[in-house]
Amino acid sequence: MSLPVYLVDDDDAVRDAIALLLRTVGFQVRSFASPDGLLAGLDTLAPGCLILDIRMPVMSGLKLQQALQERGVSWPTVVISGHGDIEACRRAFRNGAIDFLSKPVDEEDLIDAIRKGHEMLERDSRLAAEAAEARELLSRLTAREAEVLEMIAKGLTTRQISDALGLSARTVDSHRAAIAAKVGTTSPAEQTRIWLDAGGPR
Amino acid sequence: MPSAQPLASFRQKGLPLLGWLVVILAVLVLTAMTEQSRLEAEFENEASILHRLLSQRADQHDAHMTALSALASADSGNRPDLFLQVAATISRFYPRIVAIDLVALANDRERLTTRSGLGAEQIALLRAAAMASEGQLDLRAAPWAPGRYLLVKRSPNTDDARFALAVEVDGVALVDVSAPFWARPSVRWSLLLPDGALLAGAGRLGTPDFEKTLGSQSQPLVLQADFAPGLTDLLPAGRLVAVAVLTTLVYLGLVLGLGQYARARRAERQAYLSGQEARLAHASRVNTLGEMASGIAHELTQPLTAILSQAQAARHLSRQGDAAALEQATQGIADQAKRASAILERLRNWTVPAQDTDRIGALGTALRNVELLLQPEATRRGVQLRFDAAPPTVAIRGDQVELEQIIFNLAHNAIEAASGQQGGEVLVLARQADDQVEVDVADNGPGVAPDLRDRLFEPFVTGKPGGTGLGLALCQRLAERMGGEVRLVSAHPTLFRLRLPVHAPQDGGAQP
Repeated sequence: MSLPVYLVDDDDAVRDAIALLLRTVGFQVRSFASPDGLLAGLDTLAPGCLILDIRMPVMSGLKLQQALQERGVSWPTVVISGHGDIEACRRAFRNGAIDFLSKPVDEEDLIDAIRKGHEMLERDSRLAAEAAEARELLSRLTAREAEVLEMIAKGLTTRQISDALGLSARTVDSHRAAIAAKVGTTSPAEQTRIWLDAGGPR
Repeated sequence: MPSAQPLASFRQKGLPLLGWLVVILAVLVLTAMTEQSRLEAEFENEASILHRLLSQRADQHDAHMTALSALASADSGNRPDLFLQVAATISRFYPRIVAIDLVALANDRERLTTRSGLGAEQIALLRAAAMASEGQLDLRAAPWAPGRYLLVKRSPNTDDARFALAVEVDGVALVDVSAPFWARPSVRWSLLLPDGALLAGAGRLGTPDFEKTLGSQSQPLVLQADFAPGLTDLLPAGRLVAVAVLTTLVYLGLVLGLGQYARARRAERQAYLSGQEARLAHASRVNTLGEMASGIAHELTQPLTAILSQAQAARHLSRQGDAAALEQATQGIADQAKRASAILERLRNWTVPAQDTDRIGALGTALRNVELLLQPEATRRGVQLRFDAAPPTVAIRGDQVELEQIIFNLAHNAIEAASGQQGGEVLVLARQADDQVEVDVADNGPGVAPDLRDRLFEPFVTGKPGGTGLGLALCQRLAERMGGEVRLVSAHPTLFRLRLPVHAPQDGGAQP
């Protein structure tokens, strides 16, 4: 059930200790000794929270952040550092980190950060699911019906819609009835939410 | 270099001597030139003074003639003794007037003279001159005495004159120069009669520096003067010596003063440089210390992170009752605590000052400490750092920390140089050669830029962006203090060599 945590740190002792801690509190942890290890197996990994050490040979945590972004991976990332280096901290946040923690890292801070990351992931996936559902509903509409729905979402009345499209009020009403049947609700507010979930104006 | 020896000797001794000669010559030439123009002005002055003087004297002759003529025509018959008395007085006061004659034109009776006697020839000449005269004085050379001239006048000065009045003047006595200027051998003068014949002096001068007719109407004699200054005029022996001595004294004073000044400047510069050196040594220490502190902090952070996480995990495990995992976690805590302790041990070795006053450093310990200190950074930068596995166990006369600082700086530079590329490698090797020990620090980085090679050990010279340029200068200074040196043996690939004299204990028991 719990979302995975991916830990990247070149120091064996630190990596093992943090992984052990996170497992004992119930996280599902996979650890990597180098950024290369993570990048190599990226395609097989489910979305999870990333914990990156900033100071590593060959590729630093910051560079790994950029490499992940280039691959379209925007999982929540927590950066940990041995130095309270302000410049590194700024760069980490600019790269989209959700938190920046100094070593030694306290479990509460780390767990809070991971939970926050997981919440973000869950919200993202929920939003994605809703959008998919809304898009599926809208795909049932004809082109004219979609046009009418957009006007409804923008707050136009039946009369305004009939004027704008050069149709009779009766015809617009019949389109509205068809839309209500297809998306499963007669409420203009609900119809507008579905339209927005699907991505709003195209 | 042996060929530089004479040159240096010349610069030390020959140059001041040459300079002295040149200065003396210049001062002498200058003195002579000044003296020449001064003498030329003096000559002009003296000559015109003489000319004026001669004109005045000639005018005096006119006055005498007038007075004597008046006396003669008044009562020559009654008082011949009066005339002679006046004539004798004139001759006495004016030695140049050699003789005064009064000869009657018509008879042979009336005849007065200051001479011992007048010959017939002389009388005839005087009468002829007087009768030829139309009022003005007759001027001519005295044919009986070279160097003298006659002034003849009829008296009274009318067509029925009764006497011929004559004055005979000595040319040399007329000129009678007393000014010392005219005594110079380089000065010549001549007095010519109006017809150009020589009256007195050195002889007719072709193109004299000074030539002027006297201002007397009756005696338009020509004064010529010439001045050709010689070396003795321009530089009299006394002045020559005085100028030479004075110039030498001033020159010596200047040379000594300049030497003193140059030495003072050198000392000042030396003081400035050593002050700067002290500052740079301090700056470098601070710099190095800062880097060390930062490195050590990072090193300690790692085991601390592991310990904290494992301790917190252990708390959860003990609640969950997982004894096996708990034991593993606590073992991990112990291991990491030992790791931290080892780092602190290194730090202590680095900072504790040398106990012995003799300050003896152990090379092996220094190499080991620097290796431990730099290994993490090398790993982080992806550089393979390798130290001599079995360095010679020798002692160095010098501070342990300073010895480590030299090796640290060299190796740290090498790591930085090698970190920019794939397969970066740094090698630190030590070996003993007789009473010397050599530590080579080599890297396979890009090498030392050619324009840096000669100035590498100068302060503030650096090839690293953001570098202070103090590290190598400090290394060199510390090595020199231990009686050794740091040298760039090869610029590409880079190889620095630290060479230090080995400390040989006086007696076997000196080892601590």
